[in-house]
Amino acid sequence: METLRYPGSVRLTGYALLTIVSIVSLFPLVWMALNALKPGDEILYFSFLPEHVTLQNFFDAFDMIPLGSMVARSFASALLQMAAQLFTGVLAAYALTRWEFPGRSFVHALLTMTWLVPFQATMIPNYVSLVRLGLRDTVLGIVLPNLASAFAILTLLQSFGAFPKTIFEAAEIDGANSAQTLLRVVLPNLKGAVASLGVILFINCWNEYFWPLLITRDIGKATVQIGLSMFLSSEGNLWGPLMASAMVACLPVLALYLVLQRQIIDSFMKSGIK
Amino acid sequence: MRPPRRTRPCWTQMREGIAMESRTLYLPAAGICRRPSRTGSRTAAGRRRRSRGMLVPWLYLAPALILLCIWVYYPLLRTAYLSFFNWNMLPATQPQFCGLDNFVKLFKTPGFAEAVRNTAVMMIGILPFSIVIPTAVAIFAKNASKRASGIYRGLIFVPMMMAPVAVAAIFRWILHPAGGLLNQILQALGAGESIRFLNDPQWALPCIIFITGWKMTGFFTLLFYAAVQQLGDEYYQAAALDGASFWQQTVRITLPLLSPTLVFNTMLSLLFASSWSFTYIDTLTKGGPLNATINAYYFMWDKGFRTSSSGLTSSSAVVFFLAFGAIALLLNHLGQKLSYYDN
Amino acid sequence: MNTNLKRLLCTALAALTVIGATACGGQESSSTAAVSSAAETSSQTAAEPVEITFYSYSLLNAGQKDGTQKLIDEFMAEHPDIKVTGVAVSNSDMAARLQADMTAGEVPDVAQLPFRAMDFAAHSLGAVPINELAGDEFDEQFSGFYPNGLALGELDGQTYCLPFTFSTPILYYNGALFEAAGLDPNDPPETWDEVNEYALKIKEATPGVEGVHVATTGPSSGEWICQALIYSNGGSILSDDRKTVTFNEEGGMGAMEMLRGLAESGAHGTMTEEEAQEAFMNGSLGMYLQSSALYAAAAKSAEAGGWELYGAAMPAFAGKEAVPTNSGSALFVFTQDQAKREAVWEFIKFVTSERGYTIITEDIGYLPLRPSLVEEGGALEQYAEENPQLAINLEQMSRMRQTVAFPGEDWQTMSNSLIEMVDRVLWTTDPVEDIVNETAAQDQALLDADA
Repeated sequence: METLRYPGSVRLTGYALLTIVSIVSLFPLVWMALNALKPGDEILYFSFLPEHVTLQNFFDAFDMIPLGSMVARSFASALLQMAAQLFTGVLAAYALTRWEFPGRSFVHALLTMTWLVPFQATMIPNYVSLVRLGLRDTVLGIVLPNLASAFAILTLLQSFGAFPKTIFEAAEIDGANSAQTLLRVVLPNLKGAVASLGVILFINCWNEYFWPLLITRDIGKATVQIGLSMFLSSEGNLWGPLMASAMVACLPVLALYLVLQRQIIDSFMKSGIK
Repeated sequence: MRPPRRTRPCWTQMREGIAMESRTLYLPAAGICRRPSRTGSRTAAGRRRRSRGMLVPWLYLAPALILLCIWVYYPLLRTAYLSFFNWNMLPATQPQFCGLDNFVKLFKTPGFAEAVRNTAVMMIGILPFSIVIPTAVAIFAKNASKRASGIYRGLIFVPMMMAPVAVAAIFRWILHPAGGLLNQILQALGAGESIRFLNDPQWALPCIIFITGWKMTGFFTLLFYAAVQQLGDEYYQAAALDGASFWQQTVRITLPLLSPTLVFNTMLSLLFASSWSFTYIDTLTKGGPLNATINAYYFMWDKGFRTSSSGLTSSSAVVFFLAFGAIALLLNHLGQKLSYYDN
Repeated sequence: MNTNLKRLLCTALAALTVIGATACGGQESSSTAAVSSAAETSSQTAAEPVEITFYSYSLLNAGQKDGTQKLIDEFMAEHPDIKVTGVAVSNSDMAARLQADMTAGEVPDVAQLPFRAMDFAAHSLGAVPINELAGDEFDEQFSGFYPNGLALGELDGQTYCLPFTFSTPILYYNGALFEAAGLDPNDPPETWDEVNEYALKIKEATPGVEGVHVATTGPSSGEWICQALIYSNGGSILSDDRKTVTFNEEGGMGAMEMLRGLAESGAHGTMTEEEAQEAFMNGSLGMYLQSSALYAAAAKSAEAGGWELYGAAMPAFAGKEAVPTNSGSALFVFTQDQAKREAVWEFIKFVTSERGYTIITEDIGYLPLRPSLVEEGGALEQYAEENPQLAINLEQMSRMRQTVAFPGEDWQTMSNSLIEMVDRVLWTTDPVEDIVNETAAQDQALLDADA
């Protein structure tokens, strides 16, 4: 896309704002990385740079908790949940944008309400169901109650709503059925929005703590957020290993962001359709 | 184009019959304007086609609706039912009906009024982080060079990638009264006593708001950026030809076109503010000092789920749902009035 | 609406109902299911191992997980006929987990719960008294115990729990800060007046440090030290019949006045509990009254920071004897099944044996309840030499009193009210008398409502 040129003052303001926000955003990560490299209790003494650099915290972290399997488990469940929520979300948002049908506004209200149901309100009955299905300590147990997300549907509805309706008609006249329209016309144009949402949905599941904690009995089957909290206790917090495992826990999210970021950038190429 | 072409799939006619009633359709390919027929589907055959067409949207909605009914609405009803009972959870005992007792007790619990007040403060306090900064960042990032924009957005997204527990720990160190970085800087600048950021009723809530907001900025930047990217360039090109400056374009084109996103994201922000701050409140202040940082979400969890009465637990969940449901419906209603779509 | 759509909706609704019912079901059936499966277990042949579940929050603690697992593994190696499944639960969110499991019709067979939950466990969750479980073997098993240690689990004349990981309050102090203030680290403060005096000297001698912090603040810490202060000043928490709040009588009032005095003089720091802990560890807090369980972490950071860590018994009120209380956790038994009960008793026997307490002390960092272990020739003799806090703890056990576990369904609210009371005493200028009386009135109302 060819960017319109603006005067230097505008661009300068823009870069200044972006730079300040970036620094504030990045600082705690840098701080965490530096502290992950500090030995033992050096963190207690508030120096910014580590005096002695060591990887001991990383070894300790992997030694004290099954960090590798925790990351793998979190990754599997976050990926599965993200895919399922995008799938059910795209279908539902498409239906609500594409057609005016009796009950449409009722469904819309129903979805908006679901989004507000606090996890606590459904926690215990859902737990009972999962126990009955024998799904404690499983990835499926983590994701099953969250395969559809009202948040995902409503966010997609925003993007779909901005999509010109005329294109649906144009596609029909070309003889495409509704599924073909969705796959060939709508989704390619909304790739950026879907990918952005995907990143967020992934992270939502990745950061989930209470529900995985509730259905985990065996620490070997825990997720990474539970692992991190194991370093905090009333008998003294283990700062070094906590910072080290938190670093490790960032990596899969970073990887996914970079992959999906490409989709977001690619979606620059649309606009010609209007 | 009358009567309808029989060779086209039935649902297409249904679509025309309903959706096009009020709208003039512009067909780019044909380049003609037309008002679609209303009479086409009034025959018996048309009704049959129409009803088969009705099925299609429901088929698309089915996976989401069925899942939500099983995993959200059924358990919600069950919880609502339990909120009217007293039950000590023992499998051998039966729940006892107690009317609204659980609700009365909940409202009487110390800290409730503070929780309501702090929740309101938090909802407002979070808006600069969730709406103002992300909108500005998204607009400027669109105008930055492609590479710079990607790097900046990546950096701003970093807080989202960090585990909440770790974030809480890091901010505790930064805000620490005995030598934390912020106090070191303040003292280098000549401040006197170090500030007890997390144990001073005046500072504690702003700190929680900042940490929550800091974490949310990347999230909302991503949403706004996706929305900004979807705005067509032709408006800007036309405006540029008219000599409109960047600021005029922003106020007259970008913000109005973003209005649905702005309204929706404001709703997201108001509703998430309370729940996203949970980890920070729990790890950093536990609602203190003297209830200065307790909010609705923390109150419900702490008084409902950390005590042992299933009645209190269920009633807190129900109150929570009703309160936030009311806010959401209100915002949703406002949103439909305020939003401006470009088609 | 046309008929086809109606039919579709009806079918969909019916399908949903069926799915919902099969997936979620009613909980009535679950309790019967639990009972019948329990019956099957009892009638199983001896060849199949009896399975028991052990809910433990130490399993969810990176520093204690391996020690706890070692306890389980060694027990299973000794008893191949019993299989112990360790279930990791969070300490702070234990209530949510228990609610969920009980609703699903699952009761833990044996669980590690905080002492403060004892009344709730006994009366609401139906804990099985250990004396009932042990029968004739009770006296023999616990003959080598500290008598005060066994008393920690007593309620209504029954023993409802056995100390698992338990600790007493210790006054930690920083040798370097003491010396800088011209104080002798080998002469710790013995009374609260001295604590006040020493704290002010420490603060004056080294700018930027705090004098003392008493770990009674903020909900993360325990009301147990608050109770210890009240006992130490001759007060009490509840009347003997556990129906009347008594901490607003003279003893309790005086204890709170003492804390207010520390705050007013500037001796007591103004940090949150966690901040105080970190400040002590990085050498910017002079004295810190906190659980003995923190010893290992404090010793490590003192070594890293190059200062000497000292510890002393809990300070007393002038002319009175200090009365420490206990924090930490105990084992409670819930299973209704005879075969499982027998297995659980074997497990408890192992945990409270000399070997069990050796693991608990060495690998988990808590206290041995058998004096013989630290005596000459005992398994922990050398450990006791290397860990001086152990001697302070064991000495305090002779004066120790049980931390009151509040009764009724609002036990946690009442427990937390003591901490909120201390917060107000320390951080506000409201009259102490009003604060204490208001808290007492609020708790009394909860007690009356439950009765």
